Amino acid sequence: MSTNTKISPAFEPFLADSGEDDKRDAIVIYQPPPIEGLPLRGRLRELKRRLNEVKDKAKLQAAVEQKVIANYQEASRDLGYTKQPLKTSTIGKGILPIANVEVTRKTLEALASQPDVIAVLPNQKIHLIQPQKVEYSELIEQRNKDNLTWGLKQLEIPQLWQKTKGQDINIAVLDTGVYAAHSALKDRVGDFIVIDPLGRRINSDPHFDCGQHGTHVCGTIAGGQTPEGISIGVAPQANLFVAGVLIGDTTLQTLMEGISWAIEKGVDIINMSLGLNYYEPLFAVVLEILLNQYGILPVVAIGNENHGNSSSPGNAYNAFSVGAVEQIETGGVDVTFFSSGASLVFPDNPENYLVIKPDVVAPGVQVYSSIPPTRGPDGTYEYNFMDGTSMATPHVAGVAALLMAANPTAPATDIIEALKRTAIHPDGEHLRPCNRWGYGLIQPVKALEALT
Amino acid sequence: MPKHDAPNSNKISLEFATRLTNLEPQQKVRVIVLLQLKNAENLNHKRQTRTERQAAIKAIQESAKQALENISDIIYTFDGQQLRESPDLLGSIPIEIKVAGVNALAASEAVKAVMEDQSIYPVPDLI
Repeated sequence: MSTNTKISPAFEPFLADSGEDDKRDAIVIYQPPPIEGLPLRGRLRELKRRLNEVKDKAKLQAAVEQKVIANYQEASRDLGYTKQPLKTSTIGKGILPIANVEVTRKTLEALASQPDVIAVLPNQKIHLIQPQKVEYSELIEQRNKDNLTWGLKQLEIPQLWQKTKGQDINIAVLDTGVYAAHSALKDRVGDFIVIDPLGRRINSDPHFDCGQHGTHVCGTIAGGQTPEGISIGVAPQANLFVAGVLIGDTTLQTLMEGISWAIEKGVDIINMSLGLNYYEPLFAVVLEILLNQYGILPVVAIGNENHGNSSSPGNAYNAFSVGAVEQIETGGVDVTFFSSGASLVFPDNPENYLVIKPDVVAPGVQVYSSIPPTRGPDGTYEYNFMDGTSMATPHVAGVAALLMAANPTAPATDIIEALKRTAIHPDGEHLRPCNRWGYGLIQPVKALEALT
Repeated sequence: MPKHDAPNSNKISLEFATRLTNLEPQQKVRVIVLLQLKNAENLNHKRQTRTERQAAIKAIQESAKQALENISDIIYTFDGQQLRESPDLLGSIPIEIKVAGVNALAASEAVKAVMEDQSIYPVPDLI
């Protein structure tokens, strides 16, 4: 690696007004010594071992850091900084292979030229990404006027209800479970199973949710109305088959068992608002079997890791992945800041050389849906607002259910194609797909027209 | 195991292969083995009836069962243990096996892919 590539281009504006000997704070990243053993995973039971290993790692790194600093100070002295040596300090307890150093235009190159140095960054100011103002009162007022959540209104769902409400379509929700006794989910949950971390199926009555996530997702897919008459679900006559695969310290084995259960139950759609610990492109084989052998439409959240990232399995080339949009003050919608999106390049794979994610976007901010009864300061709540691509995904799953119900012979691949083809990208068709909007915001009414 | 001995990247993801290279061959890992399904007809052009779904389930189970028999020697040789009695409806079987066995599995024609049995989590809501 050349010295130039180690020096961040951000130094250019950072040093713009500085003289040759003006000192500036920089962060140096150095090569940590190799660590033996399996890279750690984020399980709770591994935390103690992780802590010990981190401490050992810090000790090993300290030697490298001292060497880098000593060499740098020697080079600085050679460059004339003898009376007022450039300051250096360890950051935190040395757990990360980084240190704080003072640099000048003259010493920057001497620092970067050391073989153990990977990169030098200016210690620039950081700022809070201000959350957008959440104005629930207007949202609630509008929702009460429409008798609909904003997501259902945005997607023009009542127009589709004139044709169907999703009757006879079975949707699996692989999530934290469901509080099936919720009044908005009355008669909607066809079956429920808990898959434990060992992959065992456990029948449970009553059906429960170990959190709120699963019940919220179920409400958006097939929920009915709140006591105030507000519709929350896209396909309120579809049947839900809920597998609690996120109860405890679960793994891919749990998910595979949940998918198998869903296949047995005869589902048409599987909603997966979940992610894997790390990138697993071979999950595409599972999605391929679902689509090609069982005709099941898997809908997967792309993740909440912001632009430039994506989450597995949503980023498998054949996943039908969903990003999130929010309402904006000027009217209309925009992709929300947290919604993941990325372009993945596979030079060795001519068939899928470029994978752009997400595939489509749907409402995923300030989504109002059902939750298990939860005590709050003013009483017990059974509904709340949630944000996330997890909330956008069930909008798409619900829409897919309506389209399937309206077109009983249309295969899952046609439904996906219709949703992609008719989606709207606000900046023009020529940008479709892009790694922010995918093919665009789904247009269920147009998709229905395209299918019939 | 040095990196250049990492198994077939078409059958094991680069990430998992990298994790395996940090382990001793005798250490054990839990994996999901996706078995090679024979004569799998592409049925994505239509919606399945209940009968067709049952037929698809049966075809996959039979094919996966055959493939599992073809890797039973590998499982035995590398001190492996099936974590499910029979393959699931996706033609996969969870196995705990030595690292060297993972490479042998990936080399088998009866195996389509091997994934680490990694953690899953809900894509979190942001409130």
